[in-house]
Amino acid sequence: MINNLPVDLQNLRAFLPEIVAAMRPRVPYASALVTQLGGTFMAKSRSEDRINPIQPRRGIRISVWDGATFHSTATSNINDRDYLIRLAKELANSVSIKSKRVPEAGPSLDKHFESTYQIDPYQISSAERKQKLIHIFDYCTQHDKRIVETRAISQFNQEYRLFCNGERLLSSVTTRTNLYVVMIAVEAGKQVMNFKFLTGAGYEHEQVSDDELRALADQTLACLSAERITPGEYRVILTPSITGLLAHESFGHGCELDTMIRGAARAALYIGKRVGSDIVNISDFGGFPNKHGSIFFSDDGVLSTEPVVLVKDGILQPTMMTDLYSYTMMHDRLPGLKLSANGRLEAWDHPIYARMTNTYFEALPREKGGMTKDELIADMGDGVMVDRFTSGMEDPLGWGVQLQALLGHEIKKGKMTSKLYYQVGMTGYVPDVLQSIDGISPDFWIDSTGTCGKGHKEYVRAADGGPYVRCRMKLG
Amino acid sequence: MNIEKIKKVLEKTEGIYGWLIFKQEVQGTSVLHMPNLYTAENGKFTSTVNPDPREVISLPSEEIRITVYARFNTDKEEFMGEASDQILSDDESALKVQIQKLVAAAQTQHNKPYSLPDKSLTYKTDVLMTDPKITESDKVQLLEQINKFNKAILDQTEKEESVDLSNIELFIKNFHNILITSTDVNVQFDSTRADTELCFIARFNDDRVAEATARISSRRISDLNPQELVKNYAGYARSIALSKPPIQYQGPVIVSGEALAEMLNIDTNVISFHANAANVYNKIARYEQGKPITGDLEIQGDRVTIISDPHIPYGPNSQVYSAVDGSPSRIVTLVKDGNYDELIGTRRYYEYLGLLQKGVQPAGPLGNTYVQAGKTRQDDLMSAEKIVVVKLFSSWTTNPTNGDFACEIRLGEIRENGKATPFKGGMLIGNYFKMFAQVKLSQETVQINNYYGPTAIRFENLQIAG
Repeated sequence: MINNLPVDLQNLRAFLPEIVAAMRPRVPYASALVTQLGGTFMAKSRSEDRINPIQPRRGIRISVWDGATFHSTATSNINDRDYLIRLAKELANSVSIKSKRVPEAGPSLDKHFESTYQIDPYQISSAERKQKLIHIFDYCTQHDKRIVETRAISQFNQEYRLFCNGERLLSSVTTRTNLYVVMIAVEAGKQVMNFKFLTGAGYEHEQVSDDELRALADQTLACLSAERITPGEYRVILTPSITGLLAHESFGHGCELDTMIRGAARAALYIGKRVGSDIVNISDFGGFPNKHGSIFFSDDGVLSTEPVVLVKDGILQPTMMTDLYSYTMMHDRLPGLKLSANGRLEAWDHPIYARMTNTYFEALPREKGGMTKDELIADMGDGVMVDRFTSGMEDPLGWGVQLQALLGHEIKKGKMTSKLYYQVGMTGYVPDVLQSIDGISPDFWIDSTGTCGKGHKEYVRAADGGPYVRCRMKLG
Repeated sequence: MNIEKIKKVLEKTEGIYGWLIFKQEVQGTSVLHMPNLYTAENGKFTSTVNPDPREVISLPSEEIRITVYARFNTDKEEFMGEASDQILSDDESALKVQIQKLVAAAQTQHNKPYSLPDKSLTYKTDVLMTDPKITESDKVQLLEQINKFNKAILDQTEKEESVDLSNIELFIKNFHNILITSTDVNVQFDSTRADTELCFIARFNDDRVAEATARISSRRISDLNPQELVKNYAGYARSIALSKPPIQYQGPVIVSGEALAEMLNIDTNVISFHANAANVYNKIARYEQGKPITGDLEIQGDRVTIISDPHIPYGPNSQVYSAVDGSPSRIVTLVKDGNYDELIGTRRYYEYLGLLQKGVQPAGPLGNTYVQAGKTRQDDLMSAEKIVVVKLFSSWTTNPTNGDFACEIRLGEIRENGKATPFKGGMLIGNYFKMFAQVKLSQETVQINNYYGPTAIRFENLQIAG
């Protein structure tokens, strides 16, 4: 049942097989992909009262394979069917077949997917959302004079995708609701920023209580007296979003197959070898229901049905995150490789690359030695608990890693003190950091939002997460 | 889609105070190629030549976006709102529905009123932004030019010791841009882009391996110089591969080349946050016109001047108008001789701050980053017995509110007694405002993407945590 797919996209879905059929007589593989966005953006701050539709960025990308190269034509003009058939035929006629290598089209399937939720976000009026933003703004700015600005943002996003390759006809409506609260506090010339975000598919995820707002406001004010950390190597506890960021930047990018086969990932030399302590397990899975990085199928038409295990018990695995091109070129040379649902693009006029979805450290069950956050703190002596990631950068060949977090909480003799560090940078040599992991909690969260770039471009939504993890890193 | 049909529906719709139509037509071709495919056997990389590209993409496309403005009264007070959306069809009935929804959205926004740009403004449409080699080429000719560039890069890389090209991407686009407003502004101009990403890997054995990536944006294909690109980035890759571990250090640091371009880029730098009209209006900016960007710290060295210049010929960030509010582009001096000067930001906030009323034209779009050169020869910046030079960051980031930074160094050099030793890793730590209290700027200049300025700046007191 196709509930939330716009009618014109429903009609286009029915037409996609004709486009692919127009190309297929000439080429061994052809596909069509349509992407479109929808939804509403709302914001409330001191001088801004804003409501705006999310820009649709609608277009189609039709592709053919000549045995060695994908050739694609991308256009925003999806209303003219004769034009699309002409483009498809021109594209197919423009190539000559170079080899018998053919991408996997997958078993036949005609299926539509939609996000599930408790409170239908489509039923929530703009007036209700706006009232909530006004309440957040008023509550936070009235909490303390030092909070000079609060920006409350509600985003209701719909992401539509249609895919057809002759064998499979897939469509999806991925629904996301996000609530962001950003505060800025000023005192005696010192200025700090703090934030909170909530994300999920249903409106139930946009709920924030006054107690939570007060806690955020108090923490923001505490940042005014926070210190800058003395640079050096520390024992650290990473909160789940930072844990996930470490997974993402350490063996996430380095296990994207297209990065690996261009010789830019040292991980290729370590498949089957130890890269972390034996409690380190890292995976990527787009099939988690309603997480920020979740997808129903990749832009290559591969279903998100099973996690890609990257590191198991500290050993790097041969199951990489694949895009269709890299898999097609390399699967006969890389034993153990599986086609995974990681071929993704930023928008219809961009290339498809191997990309992460939800990347995470696995939790460690108590029976295997998992320790709660409090136990990790009590057992660590002196150190820092790092929270609230702001950015990260990978170096899959050099195995450096850079993580940035907003907050560090001092731990002394196994107890959290009230001392706060503001703006903490973390670096390290990836194998050293992962080998130093000596404690992982049995609980698990993937609740981050944001986008991930390939280098500095091609941004796709991605999430990170995991348990609390204890390790050693350089902080500054 | 027919822009006149859209205009007619906008003119007929009730409740609209004003509107903007932005149209952009795009023709483009992109080629992505991984020239070698690697596998690992017995702990070593082995490669096979991959003669064919990964993907070739051609792009015939157009995008029309409209913004509608509404003014309305509630309890004797006047408010204003705006809403924008992409037009997906010029069918009249669909257009009516879409525009009415935008008007309804605009009428729920209780913002202080502001004015729209009118035809009395001057739009500088003669900024050089097109490459005839792109505009005069058809799809086949564009592909030939891309293949020629790729071959030149590959041939040049062949000459480099211990360096392979692992990825080459070139995106060429030809744009026709139109802005039409309810206030009779009608501006059209063409522009082109040639953007490339090249990844070089240096291997001395599989333990000493490093990658350096060139990401170059330009308006002309001829601005992408294969010889220079390969020489620079193959050199970076070799230096990173042969680098030593990071050091602990406090003292003078020279930031140069790409690292400096990232650090000063007005797209992301901290000054742009604090010299932004909206942030000034909302009282979250340090900006005080004529006051030092260093706050209470006295400036002892060179005084930096940072300008947003959207009119540099063939500048990657050269612009004719703002894609936000349609304001014409102009040169804006953010920092003059170490002091805050003008503001960036939208017409709306210029008006809220009373600048428009004083005859100050809105800033328009952010342009290229222009930093005035200094008087010191780059070689003379190195005068200290021991000094660190930072050439590449992993990713430059700063906390915009307080200016603190702690960024990983991808490639640095320790220079001691005339000897340069490359290092990699460690964090450069400092504060963006304080670091300008004692600086020396090189007299030599460079263009790196949208940065035009000194090749190097010496900061007297920064910290490196190894």
